[in-house]
Amino acid sequence: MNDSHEVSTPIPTTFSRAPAALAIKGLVKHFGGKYAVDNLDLTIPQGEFHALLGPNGAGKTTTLRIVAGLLKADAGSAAILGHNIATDAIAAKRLLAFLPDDPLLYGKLKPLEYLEFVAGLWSVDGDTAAPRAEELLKWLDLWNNTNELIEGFSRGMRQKLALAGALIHDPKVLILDEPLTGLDAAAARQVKDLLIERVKQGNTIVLTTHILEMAERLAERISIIQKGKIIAQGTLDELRALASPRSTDAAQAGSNNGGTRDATLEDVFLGLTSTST
Amino acid sequence: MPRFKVASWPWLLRHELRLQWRGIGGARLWLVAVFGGLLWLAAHAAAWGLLRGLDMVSLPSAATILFGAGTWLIISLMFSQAIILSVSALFDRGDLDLLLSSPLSPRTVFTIRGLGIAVSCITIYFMMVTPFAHVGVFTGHAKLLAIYPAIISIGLLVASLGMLLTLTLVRLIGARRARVAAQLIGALVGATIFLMSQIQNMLGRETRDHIMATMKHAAEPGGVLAADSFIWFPFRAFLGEPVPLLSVLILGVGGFFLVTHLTYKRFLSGTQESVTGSANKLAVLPATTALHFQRGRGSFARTVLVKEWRLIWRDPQLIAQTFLQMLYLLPLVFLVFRNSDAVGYVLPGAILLASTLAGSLAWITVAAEDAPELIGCAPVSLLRIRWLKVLAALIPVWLFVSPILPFLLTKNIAWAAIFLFCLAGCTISAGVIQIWYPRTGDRKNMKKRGQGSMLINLVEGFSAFGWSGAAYALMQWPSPWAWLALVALLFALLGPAGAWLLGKSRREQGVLV
Repeated sequence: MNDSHEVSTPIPTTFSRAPAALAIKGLVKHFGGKYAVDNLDLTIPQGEFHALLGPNGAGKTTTLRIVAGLLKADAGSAAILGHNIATDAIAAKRLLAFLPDDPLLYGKLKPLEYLEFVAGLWSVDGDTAAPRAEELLKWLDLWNNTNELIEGFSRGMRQKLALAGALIHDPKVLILDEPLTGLDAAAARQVKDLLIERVKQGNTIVLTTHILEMAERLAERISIIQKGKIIAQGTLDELRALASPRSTDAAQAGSNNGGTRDATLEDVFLGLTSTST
Repeated sequence: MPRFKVASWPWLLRHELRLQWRGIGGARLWLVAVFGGLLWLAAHAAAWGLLRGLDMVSLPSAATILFGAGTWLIISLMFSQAIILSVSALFDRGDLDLLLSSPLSPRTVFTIRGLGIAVSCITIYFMMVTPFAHVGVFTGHAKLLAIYPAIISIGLLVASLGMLLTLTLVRLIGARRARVAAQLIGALVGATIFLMSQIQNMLGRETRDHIMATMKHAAEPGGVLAADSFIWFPFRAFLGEPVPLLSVLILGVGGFFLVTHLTYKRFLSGTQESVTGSANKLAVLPATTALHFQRGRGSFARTVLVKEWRLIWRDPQLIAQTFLQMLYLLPLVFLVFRNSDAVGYVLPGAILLASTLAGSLAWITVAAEDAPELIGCAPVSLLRIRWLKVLAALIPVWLFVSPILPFLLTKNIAWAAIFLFCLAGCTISAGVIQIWYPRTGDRKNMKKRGQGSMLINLVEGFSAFGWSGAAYALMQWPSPWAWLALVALLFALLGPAGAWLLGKSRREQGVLV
């Protein structure tokens, strides 16, 4: 049975001939006998804010880790702006930044030293990196902490610093796994504004989140992944349309708005994921 | 497991000990317990053999001094362990938040933690000495049953001193620095015992003779080290002598009571400090406002090397653990400068230690990478980064052992060449093993790095001993035995070759760094 409800969203004509920011084809990854990613296809055009949603254990993080070059796929391919992450890894990684859900930092470094190191990894010269680091740290309210070791940072400060690290080399594609974890309301707003700004500049953002309200407000298109497959994809309206005829009952379990034009992403998400199980 | 009334002292103590012992034995705790039990039974046989031939009523002075010194050695080791456990009790939160937020009195929590430390400190030595108490009953030395209260009192005393030292350090230099300082002191106490055992080798004959003469004089009746001196009270308490036993009991039980009742508030504030703002405050290093990004396009190698050295340099705990190995090198260095004939043993020893040190540092830089995902995402060949990390590990080792080279050059150029060849071989082998057998580790748990694959540990050992053996055999040239160097080299190369074979699947799976 094919549970996929993919909707082909028109890609903006300005990007139609350009390679997709992220092109995943037939991606497979299994651990032991269990498939974490099962023949997954996903194409995200340049300049899009894309949310990848799914229940726990759906395969979101595994997919993103393969895209970031941290895991090898068993089959299929993933390409960043036309560069295959398996065969042309260096070129692909140069364009990409990946922020894991629990970013590991160097406790014994200070923030500027950390950013200096990350900039060095991406071969950003000091003249470019220094003002960018200062700008990012000031923007993320970490400038007053530049003389402290990272090990003394709170969870939110670490998250913000990791985000600064992800942005220091000005990536074209930014992949964020639960970027708001541990952030307070003000910091979360800062980060959201920063991400919107990046998309306005033509960069692509792919994020996973369990905060559906965030995906609803920020993402232009949303993909819902379950059991390692994309089961639905499109704008929120398109997803509402997909959810309404088939999942009214299930969605109503979560909300009275299920299947209506005003259904929230939460209603739609619950509706689609429950009908696909 | 016996059932105790919930929230009672025995119930809490059982909880404390369960956590500590599971940390030691892990899933194989039962195996450790069985092995320990067998050793304990075997110790009874040894005690039988010793006590049968010994007149405990009129023990010779020399025996009192010998066993008395042995008892102090045990107390020192227990104290070293108590300091390390106190740091853990204070700073490794574990279930402390849960316990302190429960209706239990903080004093009770602190006392139980202290008891847990005492029990952990004495366990091994308890098993070593209690067989003497049991055998003593059947060999006419029933007084040896005093071993029980004596060892327990000593355990309580060292636990009190360990906690007191840690809390004093917290008061003087703050929670964060206290942690590092206490760990260093604990490790150094252990290392000092080793160094003292090597003192014969380290000192010249004249100095040695002078010390021996002074000690002999002090051991004469009426002297500080005489058999009836209070110095030997701990040992004499084991023998059941009333005054020493009473003294040890008062010091142990009384000291523990005082420390736990008078300092628990400090313990509370220390635990708070270890997780709250003070950590941040103390983490502030001298201010540097200027950005220190390298101007223009910097060297990638420099970026990696500087980062690795910064991380090691700023981690005193790591330095303490790693460079204690260097402390063990000291007796060898003394040997070199004291007697050139000993070079035949020192050179291979230096190679062995350099190899071990290189292995530890390479493990820190390559396997114990703090941010493997960042490295994995970087647009640089992983292999290149790994080699640079190995280089960051090897350079300090080369610098550290380099002073031996000028000395060897003055003695024998061939030896210097052998040293250089084997030093390069052993350190590069140690690095290559880390690259070819990729694994991940946590630098905070460096002591546990050997708990991974037994085979790879064996392989590392082959390499270190192989290079050391090769150095020794080569130094025998032109003796026919020098050809044994080829066999040793074969062993040495088994290291990297083994890592290549064992790590094949790991490399294919793409273990990050």
